[in-house]
Parts: sequence; structure tokens; C-alpha cells
Amino acid sequence: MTLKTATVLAFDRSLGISDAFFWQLDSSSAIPQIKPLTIDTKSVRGTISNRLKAAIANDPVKLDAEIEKSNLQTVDVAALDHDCDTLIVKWSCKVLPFSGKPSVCNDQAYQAKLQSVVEGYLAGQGVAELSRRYAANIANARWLWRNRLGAETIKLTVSLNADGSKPIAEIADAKALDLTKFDETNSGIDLLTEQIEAGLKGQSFVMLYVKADVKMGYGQEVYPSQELILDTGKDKSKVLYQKSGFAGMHSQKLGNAIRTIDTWYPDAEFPIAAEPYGAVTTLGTAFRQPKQKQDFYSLFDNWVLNDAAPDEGQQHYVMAVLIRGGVFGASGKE
Amino acid sequence: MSHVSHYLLLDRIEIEGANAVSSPLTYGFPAVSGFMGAVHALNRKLVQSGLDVELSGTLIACHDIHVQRYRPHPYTDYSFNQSRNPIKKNGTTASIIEEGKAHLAVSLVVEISASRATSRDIDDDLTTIEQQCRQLVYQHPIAGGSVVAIEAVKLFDNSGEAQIKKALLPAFVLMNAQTDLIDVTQQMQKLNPEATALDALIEVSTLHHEPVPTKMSPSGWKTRSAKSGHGWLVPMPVGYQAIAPQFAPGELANSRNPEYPGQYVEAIYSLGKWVFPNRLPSDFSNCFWHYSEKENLYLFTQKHESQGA
Repeated sequence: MTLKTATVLAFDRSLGISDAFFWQLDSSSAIPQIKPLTIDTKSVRGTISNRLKAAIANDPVKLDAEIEKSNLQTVDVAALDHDCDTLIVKWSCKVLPFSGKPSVCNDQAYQAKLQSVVEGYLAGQGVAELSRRYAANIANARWLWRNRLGAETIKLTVSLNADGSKPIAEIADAKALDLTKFDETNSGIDLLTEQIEAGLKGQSFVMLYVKADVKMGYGQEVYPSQELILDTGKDKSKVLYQKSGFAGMHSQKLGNAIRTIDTWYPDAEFPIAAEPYGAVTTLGTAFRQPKQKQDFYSLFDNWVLNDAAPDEGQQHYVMAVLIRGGVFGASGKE
Repeated sequence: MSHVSHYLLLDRIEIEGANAVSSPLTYGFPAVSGFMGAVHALNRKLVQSGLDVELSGTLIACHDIHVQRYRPHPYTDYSFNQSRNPIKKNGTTASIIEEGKAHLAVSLVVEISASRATSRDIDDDLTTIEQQCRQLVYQHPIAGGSVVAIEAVKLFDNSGEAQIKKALLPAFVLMNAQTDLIDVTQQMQKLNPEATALDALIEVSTLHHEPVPTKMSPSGWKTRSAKSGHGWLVPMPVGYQAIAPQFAPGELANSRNPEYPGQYVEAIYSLGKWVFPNRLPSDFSNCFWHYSEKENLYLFTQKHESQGA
């Protein structure tokens, strides 16, 4: 009987990333007091600045009438207090063993084959390369997204204890690390790599507690995640994420930054997140089109069903998608 | 095989992104099955590691829950906050499947049944087993959410009830409120002999706003609910009822696990109650949820089989 992809196939994520929450302090005070960073609502009178139809734009009278309309909006906003210049962001990352065993699979023969493929990869390539790239993305603070751009300095501390004591890695200037290369030498990255590798191999249970001190300047705006609400009503056009008064970032957003390790897609110029179609939401582009046979499903099926192992880089990519987790079953309909 | 020899307290487990849609009709706190399933998985892993125990019952106490939802205005409905998923191969946004999520802090107390020899082994090795349980709990999702922190994992022998109740504070323990449901049904039947338990369940979720003119305010209003006097009642799913005959292993197409038998079921509802630990029933064993299987019913109950479900 020829092997077919299981119709029900799913992987649990191997990097269990928590939400990140925001605090703030004043770095210039002798004994800095750490306090929560909360979200405020403000209502602003905006200007009409969108592109207008030619009929309106070319008629000064109509244009004036349009511009006079008040563009009232209520939005959520998060900013440091006026006596605080440093944003503190904390989150944790659980590294679970990656053995290639799916969490659900309804075809035992397929599962056995899949596991042998993953075991082959683990024996041949190992997870050192992937671990190094994940470690680099934690260390370079890519996961701060827009907060990274405006920062003066970013200090990172990674600990294995929930209270942040006895840090295993300290990175004094995360902004100095390159976002596009993964071959930088840095003792912090090396230490993180070791931990992540041990965790993925199942040698020990690893839980990393990451804390960033981001110097932004007094009263500066910071950027928590925006909530996606399908039915917002007309009252507020932007809702930010918060939990019990703390502004926060969604774990999905952090996870996307940590797995931004894919430099093996066709004509790669910069790393993108390991996604089945190489999707980058901010660019609205899928970098791994199924036409080129370089998407996850083409590579994965070829590897598992036809024993056609792709080259080294694509092998890393396929495994990175499995470590990310998700539902990969082949529906009978397509 | 054995009796309850120890209690395992998993103190203040912080769970992120747990499933807040507990059944087709209710939302909020995750279903009991979500916690029982995690305990069952813990049981299997403990047995695999050579500790022959049975985790026979689970007490669920909630410290804090934060459902990911939004309401633009105090008089409108809530809607769930969704996550935006990566785009599809053609660059368009993937369709969004509505899901409700919650962040919560719960404490679980697990009954450990073991033979006499095993329970002696546990006594000899308390800290190692506590450490092992902590790691196993971290490695497994609970109610679909991931565990991000546990304050403490502690084993008590079966005389530690008072200590456990103290450790649970402040929290509310989820209890079965079947008697309250029967009570409300009987109250309703006094006015309407045809009222059923379903009517009572709906009645409990209803607020009646009635005009009550008084001297002070001739146009006064009063809010009445069947709940009042019964404590903090909540409708909740308590199990499943089969609605078709069972399929043999491998017979049902596209089942998740073809090596097990499968069956179509529907959810059954009852009332639950949030109770402060100081007011729990004196018989501590009645606070634990158990599986019970009878004919075509699969229920979560808080009574032992011997006492009748």
C-alpha cells in the first residue's frame, strides 16, 4: 500500500512562549521603582488626510467642506510616565523536547515513517543550527518589534529562575546585534544556544525567563499588541492588549520574531519567519510559493512520502515549521 | 485497587490562552474535562516513569480568570478577541475561526490512590516526585492553554485537608450544584407544573427587571433572579450523552485516533457553583470531580460510585 499523508496530523509547539508584559522605571533615580505600564484611552480630533476622489480634490469649495469635517477618533495608547525613561518587558520561553512525534495523527503507518524521517534529521543535522538561530533572535531583541526601533539601548537578562535571579546570559547592548546574520559570535548567544539545544533534545527541562530593559526616553510612546476584534462597534478604533492593567504583547507576536530564522527561501535577502508558505504579514507576501515547490507542504511530502530529502537548508526549514507546530493534515477535499 | 493515600496540590498554575468556549452553549471558565484531561495525561506519564499510582479525582479552584473579550459599550454584547493568523499562499488573509481564550490562575488538588507499598515509596521520595510532577505539568497543555508558571507543587498525606483548604485561599472551588437545580425546578413547578430542569437552567441565567413602586420612588425597579439565596450558580457542561451507537476502532472515517472506538455525542448541562474553601462540605472527598460512565452517559460527578451518582 502506498503511503498517504494522514488526514488528521498536528504538532504541538516545542517553544512555549508566554505573553510579554510591560513595566517601567526611571533609570536615573538611585533606587529605581518598578511600576506597571497601563493603557490609556484618548480621543483626538484627526484631520481628513486620506486620498480623496478627484471630483472633490479638484474643487476647492468641496475640498474645504470635506476638510472642515472633524475626524474624531478614540484610540488606546500606551506610553511611559513622564518620570520614567525605561520600559521593562518580561516573558518566558519553555523549550519542550522535539522528537517528531505528532500530537495527533490518524494513520499509524504514516506516523512511523514521519518519525523515522525526523529521527534521521536529528541524528544527521541535529538541532544545533536551529537552536543557534532561535537564541540569536532572543538576544537581538527582534521580538520587541517597533519598541526596538526607538530605543536608545536595550539590555537583556535571561535567567532560569522565575524571579530573574542568577542570570545565565546577559547582553549589554542587544541593539548592536545584527538582525540579518546568524553567525555573530557572542557569549550570550552561545549560552542560550546550549540551553535551547538541551531543551529540544529533551536532555533537561528548560524554561528561560527573559527580561529586557529598554531605554526609550521620558514619556515616550511604547507599542503593545493590538487586539483583533471582529465587532468593535463605533466607539473605539484601536484596542490594545492588556491583562489586569498591564500592557502586553501577544505570545504569537513574540513567537513569530523568535522563529524568524528562514534564510533558505528562494532569492533570500533577509530572514523571514518559518511559516508553511513563507508568509510575511507586514509585507503581504508569501515568499515560498507552492509553484516553486519550495513551500513546506511540497518539501515535507516529498521528504516523508518519496524519501527525497531536500538540501540542508530546506531540511532546517521543514523542521523549524514542525517545531513551530500547527495542523498539517491533508484534507480529502483538496 | 487502593485507597486515597495522598493529595497532590498544584498551587496557582498560571495558564495562558486556555479554551474559554466550554460547550456549544456556555463560555467563560474552561470545561471540567479540560482539567481532568490534563490530570489524566499526568497520570499516564507518572505510570510510564514507573510510579504505579491512580490520580482518581480532581478538585478545581480558580483564583483569577481573564477572558479575552471586548465590549465597546456597557450595553452591548461581548465579542472575543481573535488572533490574526499568517496569510495564505496567495497573500490574502486567512479566514478567522472564532475562538475564545482566557488567561487564568487555578489550583488543582489531585487525589492519589496507590497500593500500600507504592504509597510508602511516595513518602520516602516526596521532593523528587513533587519536582517530577512540576516538570510534567509544565510540559502539557491544560484546557488547551499553556502553563507559564506554577507557584508550588506539594504532596500531602490523606490527613492534610485543613492545610490544603488553607493553601487554596483565596479562591473559589467549582462544585456540582445538582441539588440547587432540583430545588429551583421544584420552586418553578409550584407555579407551573410543567416546568422542567431545562426551564430551571434557563431561569437561573435570567434576570427579571420588575417595576416595584414604593413611597420613596413611585417608578422604582427591582431585579429578581432565581439564583438569589443559592450562592454563585453557573450553568456548565457536565459530560456527554451518546446519540448514536458506538463505532468499532477504525470504522469511523477521519477519526483522530483510529485505534480507539468512536461515538457521536452531545453535551449535557447542569449547574455548577463557586464555593469559598471555608464553606466546602465537611466530607472533603465530595469536592473532587471523577469520571463516571453509565450506559450511554459519560459524566463528571463529585460523588463516588458507591454513593450513587
